[in-house]
Order: sequence, then C-alpha cells, then structure tokens
Amino acid sequence: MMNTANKKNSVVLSAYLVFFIVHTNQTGVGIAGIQRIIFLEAGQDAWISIIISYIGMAVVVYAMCYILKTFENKDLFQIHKLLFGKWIGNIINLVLVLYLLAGLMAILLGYTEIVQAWIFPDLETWAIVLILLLISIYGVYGGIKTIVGVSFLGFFLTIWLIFMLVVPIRYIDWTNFFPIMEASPKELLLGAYKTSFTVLGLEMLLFVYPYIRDKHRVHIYAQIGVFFTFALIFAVTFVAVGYYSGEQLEKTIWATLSMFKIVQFPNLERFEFLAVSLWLVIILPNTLFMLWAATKGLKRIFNLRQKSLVIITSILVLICSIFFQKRANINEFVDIVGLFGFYSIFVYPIPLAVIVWIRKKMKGGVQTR
Amino acid sequence: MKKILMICLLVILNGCVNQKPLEELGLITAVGYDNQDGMLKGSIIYYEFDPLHPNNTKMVTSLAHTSKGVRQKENLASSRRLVSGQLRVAIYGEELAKSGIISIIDTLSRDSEVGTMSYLAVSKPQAYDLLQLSQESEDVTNAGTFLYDLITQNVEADSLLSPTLHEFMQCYYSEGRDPVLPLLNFKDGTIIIEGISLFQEDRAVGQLDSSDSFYLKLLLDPFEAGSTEIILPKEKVNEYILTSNNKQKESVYISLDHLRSDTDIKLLDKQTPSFSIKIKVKSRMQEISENYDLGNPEAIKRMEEAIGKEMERQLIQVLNKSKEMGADPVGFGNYYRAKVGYDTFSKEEWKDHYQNAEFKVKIDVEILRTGVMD
Repeated sequence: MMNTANKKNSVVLSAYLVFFIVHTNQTGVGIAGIQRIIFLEAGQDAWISIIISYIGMAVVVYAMCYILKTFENKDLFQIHKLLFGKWIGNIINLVLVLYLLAGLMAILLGYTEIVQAWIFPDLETWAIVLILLLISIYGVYGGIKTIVGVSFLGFFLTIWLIFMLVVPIRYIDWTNFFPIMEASPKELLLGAYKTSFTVLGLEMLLFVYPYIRDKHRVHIYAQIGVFFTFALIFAVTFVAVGYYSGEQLEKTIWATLSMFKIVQFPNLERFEFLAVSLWLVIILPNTLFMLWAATKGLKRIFNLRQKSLVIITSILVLICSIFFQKRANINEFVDIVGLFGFYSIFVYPIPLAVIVWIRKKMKGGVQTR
Repeated sequence: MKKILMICLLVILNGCVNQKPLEELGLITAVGYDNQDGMLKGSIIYYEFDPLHPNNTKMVTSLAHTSKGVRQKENLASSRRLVSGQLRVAIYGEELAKSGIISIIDTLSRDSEVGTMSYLAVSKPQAYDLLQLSQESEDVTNAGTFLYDLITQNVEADSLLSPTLHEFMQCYYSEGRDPVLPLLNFKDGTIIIEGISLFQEDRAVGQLDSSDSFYLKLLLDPFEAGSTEIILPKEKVNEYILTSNNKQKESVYISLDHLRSDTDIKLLDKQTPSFSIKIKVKSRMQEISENYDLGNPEAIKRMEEAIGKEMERQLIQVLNKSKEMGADPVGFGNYYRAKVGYDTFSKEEWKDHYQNAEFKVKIDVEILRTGVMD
C-alpha cells in the first residue's frame, strides 16, 4: 500500500508553493477580528504579543519540519501509525480528524456570521454553509493540485487589500500606543496565546508534505509563510490599535472589516461590501484544505474512497452547523476549537518531535524508511 | 456534477436574499433628532428615485423612545421602504445634545448599513425646524447632500474639524479626549455653519465661534491649506509701516492663506499638569491693511514675531475657554494617560485634574511669500 501511495503521490508540487499553502491556511476568518481579542488581553501592547506568538510559530514550524524530514514521504496520519502502532495511531488520527472537521465548521460559521452581519441579514445559516460546502466539495474533487491552485490564486486576489490600510493610518491617534510595555508578561503571553487561535492552519504542512518535490527547501518556505502571516497580523493589529480608541476596539467585532468602512472610491462608496465578498476567497483555501485533510485522514483510518467520504463529512458538517444560530454559541464553539487547535497544533508537535528524535537515537543510524 | 452544482447554486442564490429594487426604496440622506417631552422626535429626509422628478425629496417625522422605533413609525408614513445606506448627515438638536446623545449615535455605528464616513452635526434650532426650513428653502434641494457638501467643502478647506461618525466614536471612547461637532444654524434662507459645539463625553457643553475653532483645528489636524485673519496691534509693527492708508488707528489686519502647520504636544509636568505646545506655521501673506515694508527681511521678521505672539494669545484663550466648559477636544487627557499608563489613569480624576491644567504655547510663524508683490 505504501508503495502505491508513493507512486500515486509521485511528487507533484514545487517547494515554493509551501509558502502559499502555509500562509493562506493561516489567514482566514480570524484576521477579520483578531485585534480586539489580543487587545482584551494585552491592551495597547497587543503588537508585542504578536511578536511573541511569531517566535512560537517559528519553533513549531521547525519541529514539524524535523518530524516530516525524518519520515520523508509520509504524512502525519501515516507517521502516527508507524510510531504508535495501528490502534493507538488510528485513535490519535481520529482525534486529529475531529479537530479538522470542527475547524472547518468554525470557519464556515465564522464567515456565515460575517455575511449575515454585514450584507444579508436574512440569509439562512444553512444556505450559506451549503453554498460554501458545495464549492469546497467541488474543489476537493479536483484533487490536491486544484486545492493548492486555489490557495495560490487566492493569495494574489486578496493580498492587495492590505494596501487599503493606508486610509485608516491617517486617522491614527499615536497616544493610543503609549505607554509601551504597560502589560505584564502574563498578559502579553495570554495575548500571544489568543493570537495562536488565528494562526492555526500551519498544520496543513503535515498533510501536504508527501506531495512536494524539493523536500529540503520546504522548511525555508514554510518559515517565510509564517513570517508573512505574522507581518500581516502585525500590520492590521498595529493600525487598529491606533485607529480605534481602547473601549471602541473592545466593542468592534470585526475591526479589520470596520476599518475598511472609511475607504471610499468615487465609484464605490462602500468598500467594505467588496471586502466582505472578497473574504470568501481568503477563507476558501482554508475550507478546501480542511475538508481535504480530514477526508484524507478518514481514508487512512477506514480505507474508504475519499470521494464518498467528502460527501459524508460535508453532510455531517452541514447538519451540525444548523444547530448554531446565535452569535454567543458560535463564539463559544470557536473558542473551544481554538483551544483544541492550540494543543494539537502548537503544543503537540514539540513532544512529538522529541519522541521522533529519541526513536532515531535508539535505532542508531538505522534508516527509518 | 458540475451542471447540477451550478443549478443548485442558482436556485439557492435567488431564493434566499431579500431583494431591494431601487424604485421601491426611500434613500434616507439626512436624519434629525430632538427631544420632545422625554420622547425622541426623529425627522428623516429621504430621496425617492424617480427619473421624472430628479430632486424628489420628502420629509417624515415621528415620535418614539428609540431611534429604530422612530424609523419603524416613519416607515408607516412613507410609501417607500426606508433604507439608511445613503445616510449623509445626522443632526442633533442642541437641546438633545446637552442631555447626551451616545445611545442614538451608537445605533448608527452598530448598523452595518450606515457608513462610518457619515457626518454628525449639532443644530442650534431644533433639528426638525432646521430640516423643515431647508425643505421649504429654494437654496437647498436635498438637505442631506447639501449638508454633506457643505461640511466636506469646509473640512477640505481646513476651516472645520472633520465630524465623521468614526471620529466622534474614536474621541468618545478614548479616555482623555472629547468630541467636537459643527454647529449648524438656519440663516437667510440657507443652512450655515455657525461654529463648533464642544462636548464633554457625549453631552454638548458649549460652543466656539468659527474664528476660535480655527485654533482648535491648528492643534488637532496638521493644516495643509488653511487660511485665517489676524488682527495685530499697530504699535508692535509701527516702525516698518511706510505710509498709513488705513483709517483704523490701533490695528493692522493681515490675512494669511496656504497655511501649513506642524504640532508637537508634550506633557511637561504630571503634577500640575502642564503641557508644552509647539507649533510651526508656514504661510503665505495674502492681504495687509497697511503699506508695509515687505521687501525688508527685518520687517518680515518683526511681523512673524508679532503674528506668533497674537496666535499664542488667542490659542491659550481658546484652550482656557474649553477647559472652563470641561471639554477636552485636543485630547490632553490622552497625552497625560500616555505617560502615566492605563492602570493609574481614571476618567473621573482626570476631569478634576484637567481644571488645573497649564499650557505653555510657542508658535513659530514663517511667512514664505507675500504674493506676487513685495
């Protein structure tokens, strides 16, 4: 089975695409409203928290790449089976799949909420989720090449939005940043911890790794990807802290989108409607990769066809999402997913890397292939 | 599969969304709020899209307890569905503004339909009267767009502080700064900007006339193309006046334009508190009421000094005026807070502390050009 998998994978993607995969998966619904979450913890020093969380990201990426390099052509699901045996490995895999599906649902609900709050207040939740799922199913049916293509295109279609931050910069009140370092180290760390909820998504590296051509360059591109994400989040948070005054930012749910409200063009008076619509392109790589990775995992566990699994999981997600109507419930759910994701993505790879390292030492030079 | 997906998408997209055909909507361009016997009196000017009548605006008024309640009642009085996506200006009667308006403004910023670049203003008469008179007036065809243009034009000409919804909220929610809004009045058949209205938090506490508001703008917004008129006592620049062609004995009148400014505010002392304000002004002299020796560098220098001194005097007067009203439109509280930190800063304490504030003002004026003549 392993050989056929290798043949089928037959290394299709260039290493530089890792940058787009990591970056587009990290940016999603979260970046639309991350500012107040960090601000609530770290106050005007929110930007320091982001730097701390970036250091964490870089370490995690290093750990992930170390694990992947040791096993060469395997994804995380296969590595679990190899490390912990079939039963325990599959249980861990199932937990991971559960996280991926919950993450998928969190993204869908998050975007649904944005659409409902900003453009179509009376569009039903299930309708939006259904449309998004249909696109995702269609994309996943196209295979990994299509999915990576979407993330590549999505990046270029939306990155120019960052230039629109120039307009709010003019309204910055510089006194909002002072005094610097008022937050205690504990508050800064809490802020960094909350930031990590938004930058979840770099785990996709663990699943696409077998498909990438020049494996030795994956690490560097992954690092550039997380750095770019850091720069982006830093920029939107920095501008927002100056643009809104404290209590105002605490009340603004989607600070990034609200900042777009002051951008005006002669022929487009309300830029935020365009931004909200474009946000679909930002979240699309997220939903595609999540759905793809989750079904890939299920396929590895149950040995079923991935295409039928895509349909089954989508129906499950759709049914579950019908139960979430209230903003408060969605918030709670997203927080739980974030917490879950924090431990499985940010904390877990580090002990895993240690296990892999010990195993390597014990085998003493024996090839792990 | 592709075709089925396409058909599904088409059906879903068409079915769910509430349609808004333009011919069935009334586009609200201006709203006004007043206080009447404890109830909120809302007036709305809306625009009916009709190719045959290009300027078809109508006005409705109703009473309710919340501004959205006003909207619902107004909807009952209108043949079109009222939508607020094109709202340009929200006007608050001065009486209402004195009792606090944050709850009414809050609904505007909560509503994603309303742009944050809509203007807010205070009206000296009742907002209802202002809008009613403007409806009858020949000059004003659509009060919403008229007011929007009036305010935009003056903000761009650097004679008015920008009163957008965002800036109001930014000032209101910041710990140490209070909002300001333009003060409107109805005179000689048209709407005019009479000055600015100072707020303490969300309550209007006083007003400044337009010449005073110039100095406030000098501190808050770096000027790009402002202009002003200065009155200097004659004795200060007497020696360089060649021939007196003015009947005024005591004063020289000078008009400056293309004003550019650069402001630097620092907290000198936390205890008092005392602030140092340094402003650099670069300008062009446009008009002078005497035959002044403009070719002489010494004379220009004397003039610059005299203008600087006069501006300093005026600015301190304006700052003290707003201090007495209890309004902090410049945001000295923020400069103070930036030094002491959020944890030790308290809004209530600052209010008392602010009353003792001292300002040390230094204005450097540079006259770059004097027109095409010396």
